[in-house]
Amino acid sequence: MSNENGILVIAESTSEGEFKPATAELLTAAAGLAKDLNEPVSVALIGNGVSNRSDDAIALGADKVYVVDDSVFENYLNETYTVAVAQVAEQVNPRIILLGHTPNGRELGPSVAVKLETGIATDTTSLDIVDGKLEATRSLSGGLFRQKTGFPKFPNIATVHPKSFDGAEPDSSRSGETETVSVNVASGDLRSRFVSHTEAISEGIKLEDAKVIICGGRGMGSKEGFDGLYEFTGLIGESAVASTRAASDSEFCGQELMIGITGKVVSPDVYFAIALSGASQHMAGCSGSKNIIAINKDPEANIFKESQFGVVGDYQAVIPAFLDELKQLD
Amino acid sequence: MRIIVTAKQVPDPEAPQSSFSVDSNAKKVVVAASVPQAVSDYDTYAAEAALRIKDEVEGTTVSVLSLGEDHVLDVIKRPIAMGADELFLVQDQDLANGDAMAIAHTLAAAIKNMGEFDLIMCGRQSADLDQGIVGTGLAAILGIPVLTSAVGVRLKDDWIEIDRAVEDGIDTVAAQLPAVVTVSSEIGEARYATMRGIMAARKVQPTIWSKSDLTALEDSDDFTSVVDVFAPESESNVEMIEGDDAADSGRLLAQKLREERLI
Ligand SMILES: Cc1cc2nc3c(=O)[nH]c(=O)nc-3n(C[C@H](O)[C@H](O)[C@H](O)COP(=O)(O)OP(=O)(O)OC[C@H]3O[C@@H](n4cnc5c(N)ncnc54)[C@H](O)[C@@H]3O)c2cc1C
Repeated sequence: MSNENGILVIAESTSEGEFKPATAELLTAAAGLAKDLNEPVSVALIGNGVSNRSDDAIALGADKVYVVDDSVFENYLNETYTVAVAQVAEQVNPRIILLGHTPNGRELGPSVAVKLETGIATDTTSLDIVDGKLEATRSLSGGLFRQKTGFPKFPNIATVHPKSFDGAEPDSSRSGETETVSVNVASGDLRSRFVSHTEAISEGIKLEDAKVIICGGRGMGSKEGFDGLYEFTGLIGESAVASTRAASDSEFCGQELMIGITGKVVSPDVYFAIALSGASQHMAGCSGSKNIIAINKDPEANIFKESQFGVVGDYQAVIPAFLDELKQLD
Repeated sequence: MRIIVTAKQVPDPEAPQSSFSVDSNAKKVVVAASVPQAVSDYDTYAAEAALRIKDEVEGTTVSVLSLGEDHVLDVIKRPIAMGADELFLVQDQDLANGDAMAIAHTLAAAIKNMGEFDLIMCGRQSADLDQGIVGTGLAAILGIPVLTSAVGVRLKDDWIEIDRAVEDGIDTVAAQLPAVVTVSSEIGEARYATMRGIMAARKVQPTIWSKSDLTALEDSDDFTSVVDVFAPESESNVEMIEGDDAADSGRLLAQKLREERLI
């Protein structure tokens, strides 16, 4: 194929029928690339009952929306979504395809790349155009280094690390076109299926929405020690407790609290890093935080290099005095 | 039932950060010679997930497949020492650029050499390059379904069912065998090698192939190129809060954060 044109963003929706934050972030990234190329931004909107959201995609920056709306797409499934994306891509013939580096996007991207016989760069944090092609920067070695990836073939496909771009703000005065694409997936032929979704029960505010995160590491020593962190959430508004992989693996708390390359990516205003060493695989999930505050008994701990404020000391002595003082100041 | 586990040998990803650096001319990461080799983290969890099925389903064979430049037998035999049965090594001196899609094509060709299988289990991503492409790419090349980042795995007749972590909870999805499942560390601790396992592993002779032994492998162009490898700029500007003792530092920290209106 030749005459590739524009950027195709693969949108993702929440179960409440809204775009995921990753989609608004991708539209910011796409707008920048589109400006450099002077080419349009398209959005693939795939799901069941999604047609009426095409205007929302246009408001966020789409020049053209390709809607694939069918009950077979009610839930994300690699097998069905790969067919849908590949079919839209064949119709659009884009220069670049962007997906979120979300649980579904990072699974879908490589399948689409094989189907379109092209390459993909995953978990990218910045995107540039060089000679009409994408150059995507991604992290290596658990976040220690960066690699710039080039693409010998079109389309150039990238999944984009959460929070690498600010989400596009909707502008209802924007105009764009919508086209419906009918994708034939015979459900009888499918070799995989969606079984069920179990909603996480989170006490209080969700990690992704928290303004302040209190993260405890292996150095918390025990579940009892770790549970003490919940005292913060009573004193600080919009706050939530998180963990390192070592803390979750030690069963101080559940795996769903884990921050990092395996776990969640967050970027709160304040991130308390308590009794954790600051391994690159952990920092990959929290280095976008505006302020990191470290409490660690080891003055050489890597976490201090990544922090705005630091206290050297045993958390068991530092934290009670810290919390008492906070109560005094209230 | 036969399960193939893919395993990559990498420098210990949890070695001190100072032992890793960048050779910008060669465009690659250089690792100090003192860093031991290890089986890539998530791949040991893939082996664990496969062995849990073996524990449950009598007559299950677990075959380990590794593609690499310089295999250290004692390291790459770890899944065997954990309880897997056989080892296949594809040795290739030309992996430096790490083009994941090319690696997936090579593994797919090796799997065609290995014969019948029911399930392929891979780590969700490697611990050095973190690309997360090989498992999904492998499935697409072999034309079989894929389920990724499993935090729980169950065999249900000729279907494999997994739980995967999504933004707002857990999705449960299933695929008909043969299929590819990629595994995340949340499935829970990977078993240690027992003394008996280590002794047994010593006796296992790997089947060793070079790329030219893989008849199904077609020549292909690279799918991506490495333009540059570099260390991100970082400058530390931490302000240390130092009181008379740890408790005093805690109090001063609270005052400081209030002053700065951070909390
Ligand atoms: C492929 C791969 C993926 C990974 N993914 C993740 C991930 O997503 N998230 C993640 O977190 N990790 C991940 N890891 C693990 C990561 O490399 C580290 O091992 C882990 O983050 C360490 O957790 P930690 O900082 O809690 O523990 P440690 O590194 O053991 O640090 C504990 C710290 O606590 C301090 N301490 C001990 N006692 C006290 C005390 N009483 N008071 C104050 N300080 C104290 C110590 O000085 C030390 O600095 C991954 C690793 C690999 C290989």
